[in-house]
Amino acid sequence: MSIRYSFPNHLLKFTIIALAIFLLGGCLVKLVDDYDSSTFEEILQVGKKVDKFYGDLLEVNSDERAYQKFRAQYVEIEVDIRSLVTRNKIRALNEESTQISETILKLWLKYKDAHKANDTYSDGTARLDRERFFRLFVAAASAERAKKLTADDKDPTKNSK
Amino acid sequence: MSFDIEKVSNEMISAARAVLFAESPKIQSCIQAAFKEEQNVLETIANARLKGDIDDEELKSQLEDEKDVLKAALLACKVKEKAAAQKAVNAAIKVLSDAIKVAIPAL
Repeated sequence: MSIRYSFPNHLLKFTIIALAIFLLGGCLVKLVDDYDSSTFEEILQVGKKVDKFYGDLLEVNSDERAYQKFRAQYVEIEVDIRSLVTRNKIRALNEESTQISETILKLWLKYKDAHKANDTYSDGTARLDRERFFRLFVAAASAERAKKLTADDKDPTKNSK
Repeated sequence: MSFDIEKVSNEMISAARAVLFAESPKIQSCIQAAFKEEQNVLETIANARLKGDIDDEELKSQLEDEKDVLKAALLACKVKEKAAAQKAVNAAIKVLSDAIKVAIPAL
């Protein structure tokens, strides 16, 4: 005599559904990294430093803008910008923010080198460059803030209410 | 157990569509603002050249750099677009998840 055991129908259904819910928890779509408030603050702080650099430079007569006078500030700000690049690079799903911060670094180094080569910085160029950096930091901050999502947007399988 | 997969699928699509409809104007607005601002800046650069504040070599350099800035502005819009797509898909998943949770007590 053989005894055959058949799995109860309702238990089978329950198992499948429970499994589906369990799997759903691991099947969330994530296309952007989570918002990072410390990165957002760092963007604002570094942006402020760059703006002050240009503010100080424009206050000085154009014939008194030898590179040496601003060398220390260039280095300090370059370190800050590199820190921002590093912060962005180590985060997954963060390509756009990384590219924006790399652009800021690229232009900072370009203008630093031009200042060093010419040993001066004209008013016209300084004003344009200052506005450019302002817009770049706005782009960086906007990109970071766009990652701010509600709890439901991050994990819709959990009850947020 | 009551679980109408077709009904749930339609509700999922509606949920995703609702999110995209809500988010789409913000993304369009972001892109338009980026180009509008670029237009204004190019005008400023052109005026700086006409006034003699910058020379031809500097003008060329400034225009080159503006390509990078426009790209950065559009990258910020791209993040908004990706976040919107994430919200849309997860809204659809929530509909499915909630439907399944309701169906379980019916067992």
